[in-house]
Amino acid sequence: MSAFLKLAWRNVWRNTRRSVLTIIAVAFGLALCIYTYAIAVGYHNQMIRDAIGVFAGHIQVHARGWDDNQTLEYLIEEPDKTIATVPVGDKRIVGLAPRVVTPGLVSRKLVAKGGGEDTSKEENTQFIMIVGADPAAELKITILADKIRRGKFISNDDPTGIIIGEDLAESLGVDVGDRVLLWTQDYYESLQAQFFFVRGIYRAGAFDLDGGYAIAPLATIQRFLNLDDMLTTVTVRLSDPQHLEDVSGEIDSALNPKVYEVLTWEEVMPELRQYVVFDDIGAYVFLAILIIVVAFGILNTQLMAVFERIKEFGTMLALGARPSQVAFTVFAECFFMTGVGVLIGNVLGFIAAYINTKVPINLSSEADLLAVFGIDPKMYAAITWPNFVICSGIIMGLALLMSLWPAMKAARFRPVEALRYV
Amino acid sequence: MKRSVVIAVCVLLFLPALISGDDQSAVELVKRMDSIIRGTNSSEGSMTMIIKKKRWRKPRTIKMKFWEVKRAENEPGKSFILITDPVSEAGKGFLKIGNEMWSYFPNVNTTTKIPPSMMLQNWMGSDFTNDDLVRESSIVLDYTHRTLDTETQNGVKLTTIELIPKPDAPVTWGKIVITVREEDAIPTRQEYYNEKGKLVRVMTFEDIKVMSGQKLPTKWTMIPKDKPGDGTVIIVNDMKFDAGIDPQTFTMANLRKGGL
Repeated sequence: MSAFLKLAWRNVWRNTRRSVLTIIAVAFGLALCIYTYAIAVGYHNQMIRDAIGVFAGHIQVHARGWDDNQTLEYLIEEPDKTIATVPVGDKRIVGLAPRVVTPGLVSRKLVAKGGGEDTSKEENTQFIMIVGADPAAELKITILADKIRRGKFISNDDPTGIIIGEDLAESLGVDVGDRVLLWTQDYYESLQAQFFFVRGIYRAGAFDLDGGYAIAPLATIQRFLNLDDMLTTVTVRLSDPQHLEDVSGEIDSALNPKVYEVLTWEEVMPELRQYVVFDDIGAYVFLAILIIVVAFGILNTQLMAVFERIKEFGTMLALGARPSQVAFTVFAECFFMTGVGVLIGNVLGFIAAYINTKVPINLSSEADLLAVFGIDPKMYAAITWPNFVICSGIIMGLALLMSLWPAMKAARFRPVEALRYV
Repeated sequence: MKRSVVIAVCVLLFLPALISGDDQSAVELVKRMDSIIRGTNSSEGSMTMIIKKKRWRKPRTIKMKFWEVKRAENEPGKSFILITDPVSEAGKGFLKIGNEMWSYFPNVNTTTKIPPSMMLQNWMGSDFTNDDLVRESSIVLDYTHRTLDTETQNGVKLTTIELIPKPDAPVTWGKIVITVREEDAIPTRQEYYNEKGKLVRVMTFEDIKVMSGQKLPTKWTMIPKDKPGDGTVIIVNDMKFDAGIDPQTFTMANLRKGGL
């Protein structure tokens, strides 16, 4: 067998130029696959990190049923005990934030110049989620404060101050300093209304946050809703997403599952997961085209190589080589060639991706446009091992599949005819 | 052709039943009962509502004053309710004229119209609907009445009357079954059934007292059948009937004043 392997290896280097070209095609194709994949993973990680960092957090604790209904019928009634189940001193946890989130309505209620009501402009009422948040805790675990475009973040010194997203501000026609009226049902299912003043306008880069949230200090909202100290949500931020399962499991087992639900960001924001999957499909289509092109390059080379050497195969068969040994030789030749290409491709792909994990692709020239969507203009790659294994595996597999036909062809030559082939 | 004959026969068969469904003695009894609780034409007074919900930490108590002019054949009904307690709710008002209802929020000096679709929603988290509190529907005018049964309990003669809504009546109940004392028309129990004939809620009347010279039950308890553990009690603190209410009571200006 080793003689045939030796033969195959030598065959690779007989037509050096053609082999090198094929190897380069494989190497570059693979490197491009690995690099594209790394950029996509990096972009998705960044998106998820932003979504978690801006508001959602890694883990959310609610009363059971809250996530499906999002009303004040589902409350954390013993907030101190609930919060105590989160191991805050732990290195894995950055911090937690207590919140109240409930649906409501907001409309503009400008104050006229001499005081009193300004009814000159028609009111525009929007359906929103009203959030009560602890300013200090939010500053610790979210980056929402960094996303303020105009004005400032909420503060306990300003109980009726509220921050809203840029899209909501636009549709209401309000700016920093304007008065808005919030309506909602309180704990006792009684309708309540209260004035708030817009203190800050943010652009979080998430559709729901920018268009459908109004955030005020927790204590104000708890009073507004007659909630005492009750909460709807405890949000936990981790230092590293790899602790997600551990920490959520620990909190979950410390709480009564009949009363509480412990959700990870994937359950809180299923749309984000779906977006990543959808975006991945786009990347897969691109990679599939690339790989198919490379595969047909290999098929072409192998077929050429076989048809060039009909006499040679005739000789091998005449000397007593079995057809399976001839096929094996062709197969091995393809394996060597692709193998070299895959090795080089992995190295090239790794280098390219590695550079981009340190130095981002800078899209600053498009920064204004990207900022509209809240996307950081600096894109980093992320290196993950499955990336290399999967890309290499697919190319290798396809190349071997493509060499099946030339190998069978070579094995089926009849020695007498092949020897006389001109 | 055949089908229209069938329809005609059906109509002929059922029409008499619909027309003669109203049993005169039952109508009279219901009319008397209604005036015992709400006066012949109008009523005013104050009451305390105690709402109990299983998931609440403690029951909630709301005190209010009310004024009502009942709906007549050609006149829309008018009501005004003013919350006086707890402090966080005090000054909130509800004004109803005919089918239109507004509420007023003193802390933001704003009135808002309550759409007709919300008339059957719970009033301030209680087991009473908006419509129960500021009734536009009338148990006299909107239903046909039929005596079901008469029995004697503890020496008191009780009559049970079934109320079926008229086809165009603005109510959602499938039927209401009222039990009333025959002698003085004081109600003891009302059962509300939905359109599928299922018992949805039961209201009982207790604590008969004399107010402004009239006997009336002063503790009304509403128990919803689908929410075990919940219930709402209304205690009538004081009641005056047909005392002549200032028409200015039922105006937006009065609503905005918060009854001051």
